[in-house]
Amino acid sequence: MASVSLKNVYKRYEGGVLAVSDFTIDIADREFVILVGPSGCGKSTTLRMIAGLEEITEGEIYIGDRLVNDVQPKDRDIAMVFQNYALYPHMTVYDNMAFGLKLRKTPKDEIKRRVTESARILEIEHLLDRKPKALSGGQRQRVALGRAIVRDPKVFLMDEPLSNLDAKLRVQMRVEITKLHQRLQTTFIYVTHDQTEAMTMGTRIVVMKDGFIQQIDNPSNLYRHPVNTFVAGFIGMPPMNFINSTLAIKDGRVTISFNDVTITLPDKYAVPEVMAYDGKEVIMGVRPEALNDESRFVAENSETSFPAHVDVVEMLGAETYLYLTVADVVTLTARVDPTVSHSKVGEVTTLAIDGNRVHLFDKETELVILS
Amino acid sequence: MKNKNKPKKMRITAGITAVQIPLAIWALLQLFPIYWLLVLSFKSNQEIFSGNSISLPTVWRFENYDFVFRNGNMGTYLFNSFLVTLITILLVSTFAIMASFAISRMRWRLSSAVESMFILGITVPLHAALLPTFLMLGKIDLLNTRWALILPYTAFSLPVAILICNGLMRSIPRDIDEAAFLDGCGIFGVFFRVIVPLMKPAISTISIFTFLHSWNELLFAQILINDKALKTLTAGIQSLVGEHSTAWGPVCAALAVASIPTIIAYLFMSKQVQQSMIAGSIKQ
Repeated sequence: MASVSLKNVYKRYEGGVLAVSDFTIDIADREFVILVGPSGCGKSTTLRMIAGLEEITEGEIYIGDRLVNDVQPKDRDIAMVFQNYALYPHMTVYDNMAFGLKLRKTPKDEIKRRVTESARILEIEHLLDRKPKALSGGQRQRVALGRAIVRDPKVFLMDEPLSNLDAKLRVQMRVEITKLHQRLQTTFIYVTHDQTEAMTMGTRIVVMKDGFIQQIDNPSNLYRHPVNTFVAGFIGMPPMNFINSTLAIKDGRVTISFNDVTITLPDKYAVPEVMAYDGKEVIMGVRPEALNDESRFVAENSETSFPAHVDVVEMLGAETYLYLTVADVVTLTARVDPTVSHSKVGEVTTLAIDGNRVHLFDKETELVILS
Repeated sequence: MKNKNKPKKMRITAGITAVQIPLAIWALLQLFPIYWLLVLSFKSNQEIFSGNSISLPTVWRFENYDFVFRNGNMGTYLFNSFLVTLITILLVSTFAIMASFAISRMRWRLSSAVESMFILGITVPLHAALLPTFLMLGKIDLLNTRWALILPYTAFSLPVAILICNGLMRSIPRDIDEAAFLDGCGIFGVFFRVIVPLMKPAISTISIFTFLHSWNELLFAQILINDKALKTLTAGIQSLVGEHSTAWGPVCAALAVASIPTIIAYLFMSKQVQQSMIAGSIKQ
C-alpha cells in the first residue's frame, strides 16, 4: 500500500507530440482514482509512465516516498492489468499467476498459498490447470486480476480492463473490482474512456483532454459542478444539453434567452459573477433529468417552461428519453418518468427546466460561471 | 422439416463429392512418384528395362538396400546429412527468432532497414553466390569441412525464416512483453521465457523448410566437399551413378532411404506448419 504522486509530469514523443502536459496529482494510500477521457487524451500514457513502461520527459513520479523516475518497472512494486489481459498463452492459469512470484524467487509453498488464496477470492480455483485459450473473456479477466493480486503490490494499475467484455459482464466485473478494492485496501489507478465506469467505481476522477487535466474531483462534485463544458458534456449519460443563450438582468433577476424563448432563473443566480454577463452570450447547460414534461412540474416552474417539438421517444423501462427541438434549431434530450410523461412523437409538448440545476458557462473560454 | 432438409443435404453431399474426386486424383498423382521410386528400388536393371518399370517387381530384390548400406557408404552419407541439417536448423531457428525479436519488438532507428536487408536475401539465387562462397570459405580454411555446407545453408535459409518469424512475432500483443517486464523479466527473460515458447509453430515451419533445403541441396554439397567421408546424401547418391552403367535399383533404394526422413518430418510437423502459415492472418 502506498500513495502515488505525480509532479508536473510531461510526456513528449519524438516529433514534438505532447501526449501529457503538466500532470500533477497526489493520490492517497488506498484511494481508487480513475483517469477518464476520450481516446488520445493521454490517460493510458500517464498510467504507463507510472508503471515505468513509458519514460517521462519532465517531472517527478513518487510511489510512496520513493522517486521512481529511473526505477525499472519490476522494481516499482506495482501490478498492472491490461486491456487485452496479456496472459501468457503457453502457461496454465496457475503458472500465469505464479510467474511473477517465481521470478522473485518466492518459496514454492508461499507461491501455492498465494495463488490458491487469490483464485479463491476470484472464484477461479477450478480453472488453475487450464490454458488461457480455454477460458472465456470474463474468466481471462479474472486471471489477469489474479496475476496482479498474488504479487501483493503497493499499487494496482488497470488499463481499460473491462473494455473487451460484453455489456452484461462489464457491469458484473465493475462490481467485482470495486469489491476487490474494498477487500484489498490498496491504491488503485484505473484508466477508462467509459464515464459510467468512472462514476461508479472511483473515489476520485481525473478528467483529461488533449493531455491536460480538466478536473479532479469526486464523482458527485464532477457531475454537479463541472468546471467547463468539456467535463460537463463528458460526464453524464445522456450528455448535458448545451444551449447558446443571451443572459440579461431584468428587475434584479437573471433571464436567459434563446430562440424566442426566455426563462427566468432563481435568485441564487443573481450573484456578481453572473450579473457581470448582463447582455452577453453564455452557454446554458441543462442535464437531461433537469428537464421535465410532467404537468404539475411545468405548472410549478412556469418561469422556466417553454414549448418543444418531440422528435423521438425512447422508452427504456424505468425511464424515458425524449429527443426534442426548440424552434427547429436547439436540440435537447430530456430524461423523464414514463409513468407521468405525456409527450408523444410529432407533438409539441411543454417542458420546464429545474431552475436550480442550470449550469452557466462563458461562451469564449467555456469555463463555468456558476453551477 | 426433415423432408425440407433432405434436398439441401443431398446438394451438400454432391458438392463434397465434386470436390473430393479432383482432390483424390491430385493425391494419386502426387503419390505416384513415391510408389514408382519404391517399386524401382526392389528391381534389377534387367527387369526395369525389360518393360516392367511401373508394376510390382516379379522378384523383390531387398539386396539393393543391403548394397547401398554395405558398399554405397550410405550410413556415412546419412550421418553427414543429419548432422549438417540438424546444426543448420538449430542455427537458422536461433538466429531467425533473435533477429525477428529485434526487428519486430524492439524500438531502434534502423530496424526496418535491417529487415529489408534480410528479406532482400530471398532474391539472391543460390547459384549466383556459389563462386564467392567458394572463395570465401577457401580463405578461411573451411572448404571440405561440414561448416562449408552449414554456414551457406544457414545464410540462405535465414531470409525466409525471418519472414516467417516476423509474421508470428507481430501477432503476439506487445502487452505480453510489458506484463513480463512488470512480473520481473529483463529483456532476455522476455525473450526466452515468453517469446520463444510462443514461437513453436514458426520453429516447426522453419525446421521443415530448412530441412528440405539442406537435405536436398546438391550443388554446394558436390562442389564444396570432396572428402567422401564428409559428403552428404545427395552428393553421395550422385556418386552411385556409374560412368558407363548405372544400377538403378540401388540408386532408387538410396533415394527411398533419403526420402524417409522428409516424409516423417512432415507427418510430425505439418499441423504446426499450417498454424504458423496462417498466424497473424486470422483473429485468435
